Amino acid sequence: MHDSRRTRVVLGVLLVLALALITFDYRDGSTGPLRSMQRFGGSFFGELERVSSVVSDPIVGFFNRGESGTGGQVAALQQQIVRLRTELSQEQLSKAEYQQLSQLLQLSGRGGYRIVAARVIAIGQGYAQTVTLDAGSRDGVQPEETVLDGQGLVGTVTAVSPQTCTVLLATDATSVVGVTLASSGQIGWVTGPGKTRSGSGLLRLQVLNANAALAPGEQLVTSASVRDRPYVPGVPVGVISQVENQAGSLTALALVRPYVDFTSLGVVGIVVAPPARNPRFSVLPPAPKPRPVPTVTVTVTAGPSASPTSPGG
Amino acid sequence: MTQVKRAILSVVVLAAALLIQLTVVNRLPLPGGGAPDLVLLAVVALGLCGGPAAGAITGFGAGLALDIAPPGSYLIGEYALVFCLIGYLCGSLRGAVSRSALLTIAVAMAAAAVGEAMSAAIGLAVSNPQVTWPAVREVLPSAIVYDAVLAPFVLYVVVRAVRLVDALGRPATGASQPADGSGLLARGQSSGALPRTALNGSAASGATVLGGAGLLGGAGWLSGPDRSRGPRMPRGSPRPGTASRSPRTPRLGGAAARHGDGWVGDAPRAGRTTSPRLGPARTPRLRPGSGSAGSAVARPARPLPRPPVNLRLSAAGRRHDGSVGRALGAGAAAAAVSRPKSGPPRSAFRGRRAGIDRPAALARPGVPRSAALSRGAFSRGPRFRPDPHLRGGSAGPDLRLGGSGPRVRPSRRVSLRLGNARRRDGVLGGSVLAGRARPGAGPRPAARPVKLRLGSGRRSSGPGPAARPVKLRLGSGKRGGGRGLAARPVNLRLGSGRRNGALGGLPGRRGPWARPRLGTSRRAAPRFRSGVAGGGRSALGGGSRLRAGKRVRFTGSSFLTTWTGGLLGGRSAAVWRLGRRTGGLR
Repeated sequence: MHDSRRTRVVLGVLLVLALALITFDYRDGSTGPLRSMQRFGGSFFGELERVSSVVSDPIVGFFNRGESGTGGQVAALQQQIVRLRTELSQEQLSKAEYQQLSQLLQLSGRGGYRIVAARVIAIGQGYAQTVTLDAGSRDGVQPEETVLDGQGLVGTVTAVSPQTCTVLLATDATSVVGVTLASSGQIGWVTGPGKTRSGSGLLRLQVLNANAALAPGEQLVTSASVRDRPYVPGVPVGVISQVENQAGSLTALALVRPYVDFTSLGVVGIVVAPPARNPRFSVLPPAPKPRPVPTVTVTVTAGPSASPTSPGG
Repeated sequence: MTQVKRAILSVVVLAAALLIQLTVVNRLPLPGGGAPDLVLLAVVALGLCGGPAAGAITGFGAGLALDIAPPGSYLIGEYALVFCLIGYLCGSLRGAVSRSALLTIAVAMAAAAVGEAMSAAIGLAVSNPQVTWPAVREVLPSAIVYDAVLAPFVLYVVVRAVRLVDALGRPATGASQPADGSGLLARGQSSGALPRTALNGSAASGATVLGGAGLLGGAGWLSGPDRSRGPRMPRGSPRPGTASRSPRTPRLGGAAARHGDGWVGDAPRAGRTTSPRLGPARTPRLRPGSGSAGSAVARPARPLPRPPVNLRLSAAGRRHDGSVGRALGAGAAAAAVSRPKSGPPRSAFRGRRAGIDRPAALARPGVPRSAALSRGAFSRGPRFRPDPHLRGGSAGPDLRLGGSGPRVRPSRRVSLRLGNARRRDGVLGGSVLAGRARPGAGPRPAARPVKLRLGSGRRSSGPGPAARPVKLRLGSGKRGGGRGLAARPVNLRLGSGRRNGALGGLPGRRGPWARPRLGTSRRAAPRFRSGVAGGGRSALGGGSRLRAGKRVRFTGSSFLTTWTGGLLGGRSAAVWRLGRRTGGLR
């Protein structure tokens, strides 16, 4: 095909520019022109996303509700569809948000967090597991603050614009969260699985003590970080669903099912003021019934009243 | 204006796609790991509507926006790189694909798939920890499927939007000019194709010319892709079309098809826009690109309006000259003497080109004046030529005769024509050569004649010399690009040449015109043929010529275009020769 020289020059310049951007972004830290460009993008597009979420929220809410109810039975689904159509009104949506919010507040109240409530308004493109929230620096949000919802840990804030912030989900492949086993006090970390089929996103747990006895059903909470960044301590992360024993491995491996359903995030909270003292395991949800925790009797049956602490914590 | 509108449209479309992508599509619980990429699809569609340069810029902008829009990508520039390439790719393919709606859709799907794969590959290349083989295996297939499903819809929406936006500007242009002319203008402007604009401009009012100039200067170059189409059209259409149909149609179709291509061409169809929708409408619309192919068919079918156009175009040289030329003649006549500045009517194009070319001509020191002139004519030729033709044309029979005879400078004008003529030149060149040859050296004339003859030869073979010049002008004008001039002109010439031949009738008219030229041209013609036979069929022949001449430089400028053209089609060989010959001339 024939191309004019000019066309090729344009293409060449743009490609070089793109490669230069990639290179600088790869080498550059948190400063420089790229950051200012990113800030501009954050404030400009973030604002657009915030505005458009007025329209997009009901749409997404409709589909997400349908999805969450998927039990696999056609009849049930059909019933749900009919019901959902009737429930589509904004009232229903706000009701659902209210429920999430109350759950969130309950959690934060138990843990002593001070949080800023926010809604998910956009989800990242491609292979990244990132979301945009509609709260930003004007709401007191800063980078590297913990994000959680009524179920447990969601992720951490990576970028902030005046009206929005970007959250790196715990399921992202680049996410690493330091955790403590509620039962034994073993410390380790979980990494995200990256982009996978929705629903199969099991976190990967590695415990430093290779001889640690891991059992399915054990619960994890975030462990303390320096200045509580990027994760405040004591946030429930998930429960061990499968133990992988690998002979010769330097760490004990297990797969963790997160408490949070990352496919239908709605209202979340950003911890702007961590609790004065480590809440330890006081905010854990009730342990799964089928598998009572073996040795340690940490089972919490009632919400606020129970405040058992495990010796290992 | 149209370009501005298109740019605005692109921004709007991409912004909408970006927001919908981030706030809705990505949040939907879609089965499978992936999700459709609306931004990528929008880039593909805009690339197919625009051209390589426009596609590349659009893609880059869209990718960058996606990179920096929260939540953003892992590294800024990843999507910009991928989308830029995809946009360029789609723009490059637009001409080839535009003939068939299904083909266009298929290309859109394939481009989207390639885009998804490339973004994954980029992620792997920069060792983005988020992009792992398991993740790619998980996401890529479903993403490609989603994109393929949505591609036709996005394409349709974007094409509709483009046509709508293009249609907005038409009323203004259409009111001032006849339907056909306005349609062409609209097409040309909308597509940014120089050729059409130039043609229209020649036939149309000064305003048109200004518009064309604006296109060139502004977003006009965005439409850069026209070239690719140019050659194809003539090649493809002439063979089947020429025999059965009048040659004229092919010409026009070719020229129109490229620019208008799909989209631009639609402009006229825009009228249809209202009536048909999905089923029928798309096909034609897409075809617009196909204009080339479709053009042959469709245009013939529509006899009344388009033929006039054709005539104008082809005639542009002759007829225009006659009609326009006269009109212009008055204005142009004055300007005609001063070639460089004379450009005025079409000046915008020419002037620019001239600016580019002149240096080259000047740069060659050793060449004798005659040669220099010819060179100058060459480089400038395409640009200026039109004017001279017009002038001459308009003045054509009258002026030429009178002018050439009595006025020494007029003769130079002739020479200019010759220069212009390169294509036709054979004719003009011959005349010039003849004039100069007498005083000058025998050898030079011969060599030049040959070159001229080549270009002209074909043309000359046909009666069409006049027509070709016009085409050349047009082609060159649009192509405006420095390189494109030589090669395109050639292509045009060829196409026109044959067609001209078909037109045959015209030659009769031209007869008076041509007489001086014809004499020369005929001489040239034989040579020409010989030249064609030897060089055209075998690159070697051309090569030898090149070797012989200093033409290497020239070759460089027109080489790529001619070269690729040669590779693409048999006729291209003619192109080759022309270019080389031109080179030889120089």
